[in-house]
Amino acid sequence: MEAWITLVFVVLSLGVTAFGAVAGMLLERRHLAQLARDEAELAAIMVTSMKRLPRNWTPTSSTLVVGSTVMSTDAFRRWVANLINLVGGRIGVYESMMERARREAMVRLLREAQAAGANVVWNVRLETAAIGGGEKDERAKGIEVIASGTAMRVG
Amino acid sequence: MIVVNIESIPGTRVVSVKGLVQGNTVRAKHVGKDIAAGLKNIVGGELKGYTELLVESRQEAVARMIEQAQALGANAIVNVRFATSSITAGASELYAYGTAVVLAKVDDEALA
Repeated sequence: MEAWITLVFVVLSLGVTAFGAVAGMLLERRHLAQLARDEAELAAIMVTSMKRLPRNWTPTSSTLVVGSTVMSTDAFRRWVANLINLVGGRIGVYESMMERARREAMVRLLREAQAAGANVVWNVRLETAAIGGGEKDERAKGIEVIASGTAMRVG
Repeated sequence: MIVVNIESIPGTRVVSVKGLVQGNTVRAKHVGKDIAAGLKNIVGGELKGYTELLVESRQEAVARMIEQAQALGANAIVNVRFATSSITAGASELYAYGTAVVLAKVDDEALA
């Protein structure tokens, strides 16, 4: 009886992981394509992390713009990351999650800037934090990224 | 109230500095959203419930910061920064801080 329950549990968790691997890969591919389209559309807005404006610039307006997102990775990649954690080294499977989160946050920041009629975003900052993780489960559920900057209309 | 994250706004001059103003908030989503996020964790991608949480927290924190600045008699907050941290399961803190200042417009001739 107990062996049956164990077997069902193993098959279920393997199934969930396999489903996560396939669905996660497809969803990621779609997300990256969407990001590429959004970035191309918003490429006209200049973005820098500089604090000071050039002296001869006189923007007609300036407002704070923010973009944020919470991103997670799939069950399969989390499992792979745990394996890599045993031996240490570069965890490439998490790098794509960070990349997606930062790019998504930037796109949302640029959308706000676009809505404000700006053509420049100055002093862009990116803030990252791990969120989630329960009392039993120490691991984070996802990462959150906040991008903030000052949107201005110049020229 | 002008809220920006640069140090000074061209065309204006800082007349007086009123000091640091801050706003923070700790928020959580109901357990349904936590479960939905747990399921979303299987395939990965954006956890929309938590993004919502983050946006609400940010608006709340900024509103509190602006309230403080108004109480000090400032008309702008410059050099605004955000910081986030997760406190316990499903709850996150968002902290916004900046410098409250009084800005005055500078004539174009004075700038030149």
